[in-house]
Amino acid sequence: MEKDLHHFIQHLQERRPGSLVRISKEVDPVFEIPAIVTCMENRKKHAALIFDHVRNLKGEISKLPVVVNLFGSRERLADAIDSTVPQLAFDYIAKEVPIPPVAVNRNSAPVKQVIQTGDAVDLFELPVITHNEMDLGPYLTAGSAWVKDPDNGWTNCAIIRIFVASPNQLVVNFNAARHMAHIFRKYKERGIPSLPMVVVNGHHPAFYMGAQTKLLTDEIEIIGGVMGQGLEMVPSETWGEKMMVPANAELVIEAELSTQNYDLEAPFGEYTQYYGGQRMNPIAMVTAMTRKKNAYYLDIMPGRADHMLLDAPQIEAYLYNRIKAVIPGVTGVHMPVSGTARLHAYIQVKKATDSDPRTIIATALSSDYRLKHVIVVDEDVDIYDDEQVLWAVATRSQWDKDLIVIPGMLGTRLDPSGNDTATTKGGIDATKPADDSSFAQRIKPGAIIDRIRLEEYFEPTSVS
Amino acid sequence: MSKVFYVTCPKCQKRYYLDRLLHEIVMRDPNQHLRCPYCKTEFKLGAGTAAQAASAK
Repeated sequence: MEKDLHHFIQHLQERRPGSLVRISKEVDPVFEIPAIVTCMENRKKHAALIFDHVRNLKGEISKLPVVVNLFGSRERLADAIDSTVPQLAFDYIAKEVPIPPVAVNRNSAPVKQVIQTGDAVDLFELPVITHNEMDLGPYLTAGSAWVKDPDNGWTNCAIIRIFVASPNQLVVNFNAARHMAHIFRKYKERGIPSLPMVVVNGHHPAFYMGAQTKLLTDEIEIIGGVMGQGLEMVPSETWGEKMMVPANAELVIEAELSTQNYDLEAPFGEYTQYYGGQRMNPIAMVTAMTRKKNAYYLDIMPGRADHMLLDAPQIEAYLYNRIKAVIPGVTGVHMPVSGTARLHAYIQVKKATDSDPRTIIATALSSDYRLKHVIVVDEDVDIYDDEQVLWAVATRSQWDKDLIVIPGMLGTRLDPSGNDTATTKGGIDATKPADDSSFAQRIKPGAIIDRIRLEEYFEPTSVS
Repeated sequence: MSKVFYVTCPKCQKRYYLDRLLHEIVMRDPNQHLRCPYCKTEFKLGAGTAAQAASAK
């Protein structure tokens, strides 16, 4: 069976009951689904949700059920690439290799089962969600936007926020520091009035994880690597073989992204859980929309774990590799949701010297412009547990020597505490001395703790 | 602190904000149109009206 979103949903239903909930109650696309996800997270629940009856932008019940919070748990991300939570970043690194795409027969491609072109295109048929009260309107949030570099022909894939301005018009936001902006500027500087853009909505989560690669290469090939098979592709309706699209995507939107025409976009609630301010951004005119007959509409919930976790393994893998080249003793990197999975990193190390943590901090902070605070801990601290990391800060750091502060570094504009893109970064060395022969010993109720199974004493899920 | 630039919608009177780049455009060209995210009204600040720069704190 080809890997696609349906395939993964079936996997969850069969292997992870309780991690996927299907809701038949009719819901509104304005705020209601985001409110449900927020309330669920407030109760520390992280299931993926499928809403079968969602009104579209015309007020009718959409033909497409809405899937949301698919990426809201590390267990589901690990399942997507046949990994485990502790091994997720390492297995992602191993799979981040190019596998070329495979062209398949257009006539049998599921994404071509329903085709709209020209005047038949109607984005308002989709159940596009308005997420937060100051958002300008409905936004595509799970669209993997593809553009091609005019020089090397590589495809860059970026999950970006896309405002649905009218039945056939989008307004597109991409960060000025990212590859997509770099490619866009090439077309603009050459006087080319528009560039082809494909927006892929809905696919196997491994597709999305591969599309978030930080490697400088043709990202379609990395999607294949992470999926473990070459991505099946078919010609687009608008550009034919010049721009191929995934054959097993739920929905593909084809558009001409203008380098000359701009319109208002935002405010929009971002991963930092603050709104980005209104701005002018490029317009994309939709030329075609194709989908499966039984397509799901995928939404990524902004500012929630769904949004934050999708990118986390890729950033962790990237940071791990950067740090490992300098400090071989690094054993793990975790970007916690508590730090938006972008601004904080917990880094675990088997120290060789007392200089290792500072070197790790300097390397990490200069590797990703969004990373703001780093906490370095020993191997006995679980970096996936906020409480343990904070315990290490409480008991293993003295801030007259273990706190590093670096003002004036490049940061994200979406952090309201910064000064536009300038920010103060810092790190905490929360490790024991490399020679810990004089350091206090951590308590442990004997070797028996490694053999205790709570289920032999009581049912863990029945207690609060 | 990063600044955001609040404006008030003339129709619904609710406040929202512009980012720095759009604020600079509006300061140069008061006829630049804006759109209220609450009531969706398009409006212009017009000559002689300045957007309020407010710090995030």
